[in-house]
Amino acid sequence: MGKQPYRAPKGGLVQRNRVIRFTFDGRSYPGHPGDTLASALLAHGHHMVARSFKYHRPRGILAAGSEDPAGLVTIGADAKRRDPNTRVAEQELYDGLVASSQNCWPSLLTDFGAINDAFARFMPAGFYYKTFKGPPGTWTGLFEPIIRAAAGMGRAPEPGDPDRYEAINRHCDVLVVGGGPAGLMAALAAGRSGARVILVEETARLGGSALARDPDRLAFDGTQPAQWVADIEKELATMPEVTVLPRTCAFGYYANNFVGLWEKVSDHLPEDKRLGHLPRQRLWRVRAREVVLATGALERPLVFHENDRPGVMLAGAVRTFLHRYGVMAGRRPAIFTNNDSGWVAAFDLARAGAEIAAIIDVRREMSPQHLAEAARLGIPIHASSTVVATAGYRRIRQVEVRPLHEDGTVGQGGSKIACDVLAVSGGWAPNVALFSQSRGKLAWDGELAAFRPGLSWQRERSAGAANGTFALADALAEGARAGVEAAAAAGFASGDVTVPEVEGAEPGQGRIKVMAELPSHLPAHRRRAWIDLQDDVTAKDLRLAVQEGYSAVEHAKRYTTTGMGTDQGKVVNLNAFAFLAAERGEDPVKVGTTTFRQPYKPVTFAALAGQHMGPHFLPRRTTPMHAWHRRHGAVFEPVGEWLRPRAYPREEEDFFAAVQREARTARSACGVLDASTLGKIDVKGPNAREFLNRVYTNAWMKLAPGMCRYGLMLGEDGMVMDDGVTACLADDHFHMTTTTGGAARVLAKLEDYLQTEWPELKVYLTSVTEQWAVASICGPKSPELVGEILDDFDPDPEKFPFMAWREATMAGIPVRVFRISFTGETSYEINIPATYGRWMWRTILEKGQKHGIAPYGTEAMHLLRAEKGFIIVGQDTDGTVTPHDLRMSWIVKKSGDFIGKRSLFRSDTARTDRRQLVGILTEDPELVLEEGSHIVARRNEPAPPVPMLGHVTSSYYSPNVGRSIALALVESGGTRIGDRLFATRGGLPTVPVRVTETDFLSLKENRQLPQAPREALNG
Amino acid sequence: MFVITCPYCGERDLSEFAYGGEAHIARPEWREDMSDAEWAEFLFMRTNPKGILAERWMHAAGCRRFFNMLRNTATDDILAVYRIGETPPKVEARLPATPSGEAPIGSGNDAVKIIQPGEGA
Amino acid sequence: MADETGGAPERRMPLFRRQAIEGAPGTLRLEELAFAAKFILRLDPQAGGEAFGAATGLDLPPAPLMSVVNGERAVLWLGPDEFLVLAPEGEAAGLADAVASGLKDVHHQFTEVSDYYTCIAVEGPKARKALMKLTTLDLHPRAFSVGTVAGSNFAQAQGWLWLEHEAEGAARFRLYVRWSMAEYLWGTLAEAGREWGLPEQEPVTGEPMLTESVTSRKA
Ligand SMILES: [Zn+2]
Repeated sequence: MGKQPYRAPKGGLVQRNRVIRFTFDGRSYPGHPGDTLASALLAHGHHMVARSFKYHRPRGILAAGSEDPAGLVTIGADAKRRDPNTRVAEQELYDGLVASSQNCWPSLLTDFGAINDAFARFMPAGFYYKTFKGPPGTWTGLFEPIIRAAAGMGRAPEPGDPDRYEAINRHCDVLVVGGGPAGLMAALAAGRSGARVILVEETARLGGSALARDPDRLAFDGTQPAQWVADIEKELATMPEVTVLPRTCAFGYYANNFVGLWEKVSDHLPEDKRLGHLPRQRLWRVRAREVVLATGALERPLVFHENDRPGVMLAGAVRTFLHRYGVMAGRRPAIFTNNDSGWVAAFDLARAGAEIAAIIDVRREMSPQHLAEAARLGIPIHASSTVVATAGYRRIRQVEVRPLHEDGTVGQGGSKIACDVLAVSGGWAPNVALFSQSRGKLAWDGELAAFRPGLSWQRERSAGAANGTFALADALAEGARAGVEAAAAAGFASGDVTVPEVEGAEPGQGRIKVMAELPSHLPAHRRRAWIDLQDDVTAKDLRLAVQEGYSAVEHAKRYTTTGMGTDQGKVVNLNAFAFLAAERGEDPVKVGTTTFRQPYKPVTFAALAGQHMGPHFLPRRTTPMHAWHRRHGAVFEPVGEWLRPRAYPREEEDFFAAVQREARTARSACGVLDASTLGKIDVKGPNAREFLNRVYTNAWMKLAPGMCRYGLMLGEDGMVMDDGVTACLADDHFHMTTTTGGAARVLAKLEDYLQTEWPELKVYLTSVTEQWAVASICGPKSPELVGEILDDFDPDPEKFPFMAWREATMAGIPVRVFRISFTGETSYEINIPATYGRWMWRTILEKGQKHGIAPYGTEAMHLLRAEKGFIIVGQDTDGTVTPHDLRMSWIVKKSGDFIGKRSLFRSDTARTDRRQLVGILTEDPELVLEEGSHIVARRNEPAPPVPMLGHVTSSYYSPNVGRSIALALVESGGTRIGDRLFATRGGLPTVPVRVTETDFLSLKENRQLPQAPREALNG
Repeated sequence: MFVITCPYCGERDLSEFAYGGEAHIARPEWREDMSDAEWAEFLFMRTNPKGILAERWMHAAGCRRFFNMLRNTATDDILAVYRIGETPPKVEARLPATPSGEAPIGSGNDAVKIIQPGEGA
Repeated sequence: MADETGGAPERRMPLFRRQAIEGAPGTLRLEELAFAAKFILRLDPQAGGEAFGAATGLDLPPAPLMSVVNGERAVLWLGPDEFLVLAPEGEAAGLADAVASGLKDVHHQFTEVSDYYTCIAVEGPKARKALMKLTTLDLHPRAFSVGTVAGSNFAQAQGWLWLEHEAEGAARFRLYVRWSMAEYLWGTLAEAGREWGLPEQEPVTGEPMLTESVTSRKA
């Protein structure tokens, strides 16, 4: 396989003197650097590369770029790196590239799935909608598994991608999308103004359509195209503010000129040559002041019977393969066209040595110039004719041509013409995808029979073929003007840009004759004229959709799947819309177009995720004591972004046992909790007290310096939002604490009220959450320990009473000590500047050893507070709970306003039958309810809907109470103390429970714990 | 991803900001006799127009200031930003002809993606 | 648990395990700037700017996003009535006293946050590009000149970025971030600098996690 039989004798921008090897489906082939996989395969006469999605029909290479609908393969041998659904026309060749076909089994040539094609008439448009309706029946058992097994294209890579990806941000003055002639001029013009310019080119090299022309017949100011491009590239490289990004696709145009770029940094390199310090792909999130869209035009195929054979290619693609890649798509091409551009393709091929089998033109009148040139080259011409059938399996080998009558029917006779490729042209259409994504309005251009940009919505302009300006000289001028104007709009006066003189400009596509589906002698039901080559949608399918009432474009799309899939119908959509218009007998502008959605082409998830993976996925906030926790066996739980120790299981101790031990130790000896994550806000100003009065439900005017108070904060709707203890530092100075998860929310809310509702209050707020590392020490031994670790400090709970705070020093370091408790035990909360946190923690644990100290985690903390009946906002409340619902009416002051006060008197919040927080004790003391269990009135649940009285919010096994305990929100709970209710257990029989007060420790102390009745104990 | 002009810090990405709901809804002075309906009007009722909406934003990652914005909700166009306490400036916007219609251009809805014959440019 | 002792008071910044790291020569360098005095000043500049200047020798920045440097002290604009005041570590107490007495008749708040925030210095000719992998701020020299301060998000962490100095194309940024976010940002910045040869940083990760509810002994 050393030869490349279809490599043109000369030409192309490939490095002919270097041979590299690649494999396709296990077979090794030579190619050249500069090839794409498509051009390298075509150089071997290899057209069939894939199977279609639905019918598994052979598929070839239609286009030479990202618009190619069906030439999809999987790249890469490594399952963790492989890239399915890669367009062969886009994949650059590298030494050792491994490509394999997909959507076929066992092989591309022998594919059992092709049986679908024989059953095509049983899978009409809307097949899924017609089949998968009604109650689950046969289809769930019969069709669904088969279809699921057959569906999908390619296989996703396996987890463990070893490559790196990156997402970066960039601002620029002018973003130019498209590196063809118009885009190059725009970038040059804008670049010379000194503006920050980013020029994006989807392929590996700049030049665009200029590279798809015979270099001997086109010159810019006397320079060959490739050289002209290279000169511009060189000048752009000298401009420090210009960034040129090849291999980069602008895939999405979003609000305020936010454009997503997808750069393939190293997909074109052999895997062992990829640079480790660079990502494989990069996502550029670009914010541009102005955008120039120079995205070119796309050529449409023609819709005729059996138009889907491998070897049916767009005429423009055939030219690109010839001039850019030095590959002859065929030695005996036939041309089928409805405009002039098919003719120039024929002439190019003829000059390169091909024997043109025929030019078949559906038009009656053609350019005399072209007719003369065809005659000179001896090309047979079939004017006013159409192709009615094709033959060939792996590659087209024959077309049948018949005359086309004025009335739209085909005549008899005609001829069968042998060919090895059929170059088709249905005319060119501006590539308006990004323009439409930007929310600009499209205009219908009757002459082009296509949409072009109409009204802009964002700061953007289109230039060149993307704007419907196909003549090269005009496109260059328009590009230059767009660059100048865009730079000026961004505030940069441009230097002069001379538009080069073009020699060898082509006259363009001339008059185009659009026929939605070319006529055939065959009856309609036997015609298979493909509109969408990837999704296997034929003209017949669209006709059926219209007949069945799905004639609007968006309906027809979904009913038939036309324009779906990985190509989103780039080259086929216009044919579909033209067909719908013809079927409906309406103007195409009335029929419209489907939405051009982002992304323009599929972007890998890896690029979208960028570097935000693994350890960089989310911040993991940790306290100064974190390393200690880890070293001492803590298991952690996420609390918002924080990681907090949940318990410290010792060897041979499971999590449950560890929590029980920690909770026992905290009440019997001494426990210490890392409470550093609690939100802390410094509140200062002459109106600080008044402010606290308004944001908490209780009164703050009398809190003396040196003392603390617990507060409940409501939303304006009267619902509990946060809670915490606030200490009075001085008359005008307070230290507020919030819940760990509520810290940012509370600060924002308080700032909101100060800035927008009460600007007259002189109060400043500053977050001090992480200024302080906090150790909360509790238990009967805690006073002794605190006395030992603080300097000259009397911790006597009598003299340093509950809810007081003191300044102190610890080995000379200033600390604040708060006598506050979340456990009901004697507690001291020591706050030390965070940089000393690690040292403080270690000191406490060391000095506490002789007192039997144990660190406890959040689980024991939750358990300890539940034993005492203290709430956790967010666990026992859910945004629908008022202070009265918590039976904490004692904390709601009678006089004066506060946030949420009026809402407590709304008819709904004042109801007496609202759910209220109560204790729940199972009659079986060993049974621990699931949090979330429902509370119901009767042992046997009636048929649904079951009337719920409430639900369990917290539930634990308490070592200190010696039984299970739970908190629950229960309808009129306060009036049900002592009642017997039932708790559900997820499908198991309900269990009887007693409603109690919430302070279980006091119930135990006062011997008020309900005694288990005999029946519960007996099971 | 919008660009929002903070009245203090200038143009920044949307990701730096937090939304604060409709603007110019003053918290009523506390009155014992305020009816449930009056309170509900303040607490729950919002105009929710398809058109120009005055709304509050906070520059959460930046200067932490609240400010007001006029936004055309039919197109997501930001028409003006102004500080708390300032009166909203007069602005013009391309609005839907009917309350449930689409703005003539700039709507995310597909209904306006093509210039129809006879439609003025 | 007795494997370590408290010992004498010892301060640790959040990145104390991280050494300064550097990429290829003339590219990028990261370093934690430990132990400086940091205060948040809340003050109406109209009402107390002059008194503050008299007390500290620091004028308040005259416009948003600006900074004022005087010797080793600096004031960074965070908001219209909010500033970050920086000084050498040893000056913290003196500074607090000076402000307390100088502004005793003016409504203000001067809160020490030396331990709340740490500072990561990001410097070198590639510093702007490295940071733009994390933030949507426009860090081009035309948009972000020496002395500029901006609060923004850096990856998923909020912080304040200050371009302290720039000479011969080498920018010296200081990024002020919360203690708890420092490790995350260090790793993310190092990752952003891989392109220029910053060494890969071993992440702090792999803690045993338990998120489900456990109400009884293992079966
Ligand atoms: Zn701001």
